[in-house]
Amino acid sequence: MIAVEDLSARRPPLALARIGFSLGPGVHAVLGAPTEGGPLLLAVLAGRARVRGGVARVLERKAGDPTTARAIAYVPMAPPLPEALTVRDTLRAAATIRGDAAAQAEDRLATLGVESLADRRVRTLAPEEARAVALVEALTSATASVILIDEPFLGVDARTMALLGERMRLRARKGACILIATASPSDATTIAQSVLVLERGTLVRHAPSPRAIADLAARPARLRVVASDPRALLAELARDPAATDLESRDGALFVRGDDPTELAAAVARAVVRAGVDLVEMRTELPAVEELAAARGAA
Amino acid sequence: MTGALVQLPLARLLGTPRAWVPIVGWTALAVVAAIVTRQTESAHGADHALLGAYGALALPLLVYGIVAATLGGDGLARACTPLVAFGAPAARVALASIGVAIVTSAILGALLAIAVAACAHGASDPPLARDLVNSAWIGALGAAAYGAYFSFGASFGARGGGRSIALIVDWIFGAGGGVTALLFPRAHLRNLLGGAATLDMSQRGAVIALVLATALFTLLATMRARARR
Repeated sequence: MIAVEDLSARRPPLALARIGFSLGPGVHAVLGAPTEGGPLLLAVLAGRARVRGGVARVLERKAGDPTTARAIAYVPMAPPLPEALTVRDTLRAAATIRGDAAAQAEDRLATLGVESLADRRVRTLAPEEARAVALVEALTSATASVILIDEPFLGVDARTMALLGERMRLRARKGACILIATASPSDATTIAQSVLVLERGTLVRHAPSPRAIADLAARPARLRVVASDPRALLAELARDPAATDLESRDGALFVRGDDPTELAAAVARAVVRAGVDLVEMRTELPAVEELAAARGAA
Repeated sequence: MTGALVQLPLARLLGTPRAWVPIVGWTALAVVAAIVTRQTESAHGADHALLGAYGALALPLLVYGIVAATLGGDGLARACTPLVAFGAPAARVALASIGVAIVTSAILGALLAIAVAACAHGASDPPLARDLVNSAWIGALGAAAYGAYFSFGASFGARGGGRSIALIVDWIFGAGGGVTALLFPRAHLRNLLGGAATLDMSQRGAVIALVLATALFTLLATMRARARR
């Protein structure tokens, strides 16, 4: 559904250089800080930024082709909604333009739990509310088969996050191609079935399967450990070479190492040696910068 | 789909009370000027009022305000973006906005012309009924041409700054009597309202010129909106 070859684009201060990948139906993520070029890539695919070199094809047509515009939903950080209309009228107008069957605004808005916005004028909405309306429009349109979302989980509460993830998976199961741009490895690896890692406008890694994503998330390994006596555990872990970095924060220990299995074993050894009770141990995903650093080291 | 495309410019126009301040202001100015003209110039009051405050000042500024309100104070391409984002063709969205501006301008231009002619009607003016009818269609035609002209102006600049330049250019060049004046609505409107004809153009010629100007500026504005998508 999306095929990109040797793509170069520029919209200061962002740029993309010779990117290539192809994506079918499913939820996919572009991972990287906004300055790495993810938002620009979405804008190019949505036809909102010019291609300077190479080819970007969406639904078998060049990006920006007017014949596919109705089937592409693009939700940037500040989506351009019709400010003078109410949310209800906005959704109705969007449905008419896209060719969707008429549906109650409340029903559509309920997918993200924001049905109370139906009668508000768009110009009175807070930025987060406007984004929620744009997300509802994109994810509940039956016509939109390519959905491009910049930072879908930013500024979203836990309940909405769950609803949003559920909705994205549902649309993907029905054959839509959803591409999100995010700086959060956690968001990317939780929701997406393939992840593209962008760095300074170039594609440095493509994890095309859940297994590859797990590998992407595992290195460098990072564990969050809660124990009955964090100080004693910290002292023991400091002696173990498998733990390369230790941090104590908010009553928890954050332990980093090169290998996740060795790191978990090191924590187990330290728990026994320190004679403390282990309350919780779970994997923490590395930050984007850590992924980039790990790639540089490799 | 047309209904959905027309809904946004209409909502901008009707749902923004602030946008009506200049529209009401210029209307009031034209009516007050007509009453003053009637009191000081009893014989040809309607002619003078229509040619003076109405045609030269109030109508262009009224339409300028209507176009600005219809586009939400933005440039043409930017005003179209919210509906283009849902997949609507940029040219159709622009055409809908321009259409709303032109029709609203024509209606208000005609009503204002009727009000001015009625308030200023003097003894030597044509019979009142005929004068009102003529004033109405001339006002509507002139306003429609200005609506298209300012919409074309609004296609320049992100916030439609070209609209202001179009107003100034019309004032400077449309007021002259040379060939350049033929390109601007002001010259032809003046001709139809009984003022000096540019290059001795007939009134029939002025009507055709205003119709062509409306079509041409609409076409150019639409093409620019599509190109700047």
